[in-house]
Amino acid sequence: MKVSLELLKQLTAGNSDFPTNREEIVERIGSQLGAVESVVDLRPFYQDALIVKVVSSKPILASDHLSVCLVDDKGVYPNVERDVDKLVQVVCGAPNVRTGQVAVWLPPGSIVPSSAGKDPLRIGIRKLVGNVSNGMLASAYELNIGSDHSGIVELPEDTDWGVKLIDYLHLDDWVVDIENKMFTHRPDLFGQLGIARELSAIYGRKFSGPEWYRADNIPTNSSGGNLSVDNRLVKSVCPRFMAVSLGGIEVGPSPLWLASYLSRCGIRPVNNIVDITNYVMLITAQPLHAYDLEKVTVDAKTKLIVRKAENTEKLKLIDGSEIELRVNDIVIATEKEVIGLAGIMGSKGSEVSASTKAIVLECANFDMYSIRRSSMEHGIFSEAVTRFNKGQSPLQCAPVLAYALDIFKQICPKAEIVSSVVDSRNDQTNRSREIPVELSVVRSYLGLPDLTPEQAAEILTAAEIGIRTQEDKVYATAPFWRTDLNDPVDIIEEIGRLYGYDRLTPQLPVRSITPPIKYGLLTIKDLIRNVMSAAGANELLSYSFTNAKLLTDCGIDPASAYSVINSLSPELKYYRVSLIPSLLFRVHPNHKAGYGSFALFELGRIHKIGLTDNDGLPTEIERLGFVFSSVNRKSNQGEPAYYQARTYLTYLLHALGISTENLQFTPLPMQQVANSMTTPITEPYANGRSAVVSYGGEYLGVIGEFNSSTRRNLKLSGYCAGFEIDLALIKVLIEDQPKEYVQLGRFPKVIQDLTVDSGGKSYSELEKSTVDKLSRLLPEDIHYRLEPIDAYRPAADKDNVRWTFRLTAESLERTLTDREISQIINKLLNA
Amino acid sequence: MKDELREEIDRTKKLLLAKLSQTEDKRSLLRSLELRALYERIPELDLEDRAGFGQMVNQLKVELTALINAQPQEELSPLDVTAPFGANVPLGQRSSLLESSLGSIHPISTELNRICELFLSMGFSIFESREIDDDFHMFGSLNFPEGHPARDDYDTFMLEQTDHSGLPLIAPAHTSSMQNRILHQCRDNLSAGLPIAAIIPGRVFRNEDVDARHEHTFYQVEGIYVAKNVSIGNLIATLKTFLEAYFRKANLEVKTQPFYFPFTEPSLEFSLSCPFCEKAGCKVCSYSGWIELLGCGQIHPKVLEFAGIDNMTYSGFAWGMGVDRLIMMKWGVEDIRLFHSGRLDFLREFSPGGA
Repeated sequence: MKVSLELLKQLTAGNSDFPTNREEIVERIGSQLGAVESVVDLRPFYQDALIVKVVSSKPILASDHLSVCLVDDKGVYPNVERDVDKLVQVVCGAPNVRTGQVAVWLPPGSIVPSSAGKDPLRIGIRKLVGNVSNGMLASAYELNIGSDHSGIVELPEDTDWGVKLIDYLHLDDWVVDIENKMFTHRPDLFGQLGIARELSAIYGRKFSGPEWYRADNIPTNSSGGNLSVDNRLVKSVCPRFMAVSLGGIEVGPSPLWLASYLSRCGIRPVNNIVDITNYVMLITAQPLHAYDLEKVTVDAKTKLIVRKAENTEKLKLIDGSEIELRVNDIVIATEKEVIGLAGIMGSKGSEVSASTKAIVLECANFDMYSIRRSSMEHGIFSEAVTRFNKGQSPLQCAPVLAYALDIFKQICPKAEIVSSVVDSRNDQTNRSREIPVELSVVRSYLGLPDLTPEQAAEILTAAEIGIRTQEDKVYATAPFWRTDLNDPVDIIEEIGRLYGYDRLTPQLPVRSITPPIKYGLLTIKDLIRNVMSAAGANELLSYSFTNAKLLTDCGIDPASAYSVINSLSPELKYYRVSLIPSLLFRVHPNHKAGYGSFALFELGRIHKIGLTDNDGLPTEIERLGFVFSSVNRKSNQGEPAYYQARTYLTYLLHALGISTENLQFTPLPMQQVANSMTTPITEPYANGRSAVVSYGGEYLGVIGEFNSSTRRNLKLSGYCAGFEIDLALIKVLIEDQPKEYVQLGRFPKVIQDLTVDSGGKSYSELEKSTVDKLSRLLPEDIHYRLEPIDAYRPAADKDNVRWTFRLTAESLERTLTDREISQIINKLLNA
Repeated sequence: MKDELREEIDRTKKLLLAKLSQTEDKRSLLRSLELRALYERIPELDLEDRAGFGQMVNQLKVELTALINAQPQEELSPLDVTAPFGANVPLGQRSSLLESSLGSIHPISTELNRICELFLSMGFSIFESREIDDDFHMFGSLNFPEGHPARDDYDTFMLEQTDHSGLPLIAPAHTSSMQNRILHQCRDNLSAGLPIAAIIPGRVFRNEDVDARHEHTFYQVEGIYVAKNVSIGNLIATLKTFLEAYFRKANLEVKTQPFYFPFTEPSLEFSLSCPFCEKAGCKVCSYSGWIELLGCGQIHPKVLEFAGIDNMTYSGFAWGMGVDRLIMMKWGVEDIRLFHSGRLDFLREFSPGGA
């Protein structure tokens, strides 16, 4: 929202009240109104530009478009070459340059205003086709007052020359750009008038706004004409619709002052009619629209209908785009056709053009939600939308229309009202209600224990809020333009902001010493990070979003994943169902970057369609994903990568204080799944070289190497394995780990190794049968521990692995002998 | 073409087909010496043979590629996945962990953890936020009426799947979406005379074009504090105290700017005097001496009401602080996209051993 301090000053009746220190104004806007995005001082751009009279203009014969002119600045500009009559020679290429004209001269040494700020272009003394040109005559484009650079700017012939442009157009101005988000709830602040009023309140000065901005200022009615309005939505989404016809219209460029105010506030000048409606909007925040009267007149009758669109209707808009209307759109139509998407944009067919002789001027109010929905659905964002969707007050339609008619009279002297002023409104628009505010609440909310009712009243009155105080209460009545003030807290905000938050005393709250709690899995995740990083692994963070290609590259069906409608790109379309694909995706690039061996891990969440929690929201499953990869090793030579992943898993569990004795590894492919909801993602893994990990029957995760298609798709190394485990179960395991203390024995332990042939059985079966046998063979007083220390697969017998276990045995009652234990081992081996 | 040339190709073909069943990395056959030798022959041949021979070699390569692609996916032989280590691997050659000095924790995790620990020490409990939420928690419970333009400021990602009211699920655009749940869950604190004091670190999402300073995925820490007679002065003091502890600086200055959020009123933007240059002006604060850090305000009475809290008796404040920029400032990280890049050169900058 661009604000011109000069306009604010003009709108502050009794201009002398307007603060003069501009730095301070900007600072106070920042601290009491909203963030200032930029401040532009216009003076340096325009300081040298002068209004001059073109005393003579003669075409240069050697050129097809240049003229040599003598201009009169009444000798104001110093240091420039002049002729005997004190006139300055300037060469001009504009087709409209002519003798007698009043124009704007940029003398040598000045900066072209349109180039200022970017790449300043300084004007020099040049020779054009042999003629010296001292500076240039400027177009609207060069003056940054419009887009027209087809000719030079022409001022009315009675304009005094030898005057600085800066004085003529009040360009000794600062344009302050305030962040829009600040005003989402403040319809009034989308007009310069609202900002002027707010600034007065911030300075604690009584604001007396312009005389015309009163709800009871109704435009002088006249009769006649053939204008009528059929507002079919007056009880719902169009609480007010005012219109009037104007004849005697001559479309042309706006006066320079009008174009200048529009362009400094970021609105492009178009023509006098459109510019007047935009200027009035710029001042008041109330959008207006002008239709070409002839184009909206059917059979000599001008009847504007406000209604909902029909499904089959189409509309070609002023910007040239064509839209298909939807049933919820509010439209303005004649008996014949739709002439505007209400509050958003008019139709191309009813647009004011160079040949327009008469117009219908609309000043209406529409429901902010309807405007916003239509704007979003059609993707049309206009200055009018920005204002209407904040909820303008219907009560301002009348004074704004009256003001607009005044401006028309001023700028188009031949314009005359040729119809009655039509006003279709509902009686709900007369809203004025007192908001009671307990001052004790204000004091507590703001931490201002000494605030008196008088102080509160003074602050609020400055913002033109009506005030009645009674004991320790104030009753606030919002002025009609403040549709945002409804609740006591809105009034508290007003007092706090206008008082100044930075003047409040910071004071820490006093609280009890009850200990706070860390909920969820934060503590466990911190533990895991510390353990894994101490084991040389690197934590990475991936997006929560992934894509169909990566999922299918890992063999996963994207149909199981939640998907984003408005994703930034197809790369970010799906939520993750597993962390493994994101990790695998990072493996090849890191090898390519020169890292030979590494371990990556991520703590993240996954979601699966069909899995919901008690609130019906997708269950957020917390996981640890891990991948180890090396280009220096091969999984089919030496120890397979599977065992590398397993080394990390075991290390992690041990470091978390979880015994791995109850850990079970069930080879993939999985035979059956007990609970389909928690089916692990096993698709990327290689059958026979990966396993489901469970703990005491509960599913913990999956571990293993990856199958050949995953390996090929993601260019994985020949030595790559990983795991993904569930953190909720880890939490349970850490908290429920039974810790049993066994008293130390008094007798020496016997340690012996035994080697058992697997005979095609898996390790876990072999271990189980060995333990079973030992338990049968060893007397009850003997406690023992069995741990695997070596595995040997004879070349001649591929199915067999000879496992060597170390048996540590002790009795709590007696001294065991080596002999006794070897006998038992022998029995076991021969059984 | 000479028969001997045909035979030469046939011979190579037989050889390669034989190798196909024996080789593990079947694609390596396409780069095999035998095939390459045929290609190298081409320029040596007589002109009349060259084209035909070349075509046949190409034909062979096409056949071989097709054969390789048609092969059942080559998997390595099964392992005993129940075993603690592999067979025939001596003790010293079994898998081991990488050097500790290579390991690292992501800077965002480190920093979030530090922020959590500081607030924990100030008496704030910690909750985690969600990565998929519903319209009610993202907007409705925070006093954003349906269709309100304030929703436009949160370029929100929406899901194809819907919540129980039939509205699209949402990728939360702020951690404030947790406010209602926590206020509701902890509201009994108030009747017991205890405040509700909580922070919520979390990952949030905005539909924003990505560049060196903007990410669609970033991190926030939300804070809420509700008790009797809570004032804006309390809010400012709490945040100032935290920031001084975080930057390990005493007497940092703070300033506020009015803002608008539907779920706080008054709403403020909170800036801190630059802790890196003592307001002298530096690169971090863009030579302004101030750093814009967070949005905050007094919790809107309607938000308390939606959570079942008596807003006549209790009031409170809330804030939402961006974490990514804080970390970028602290470490001088040049590009926000590095955080999710998964690049080891970036991650290992945070290892004890260095990159």
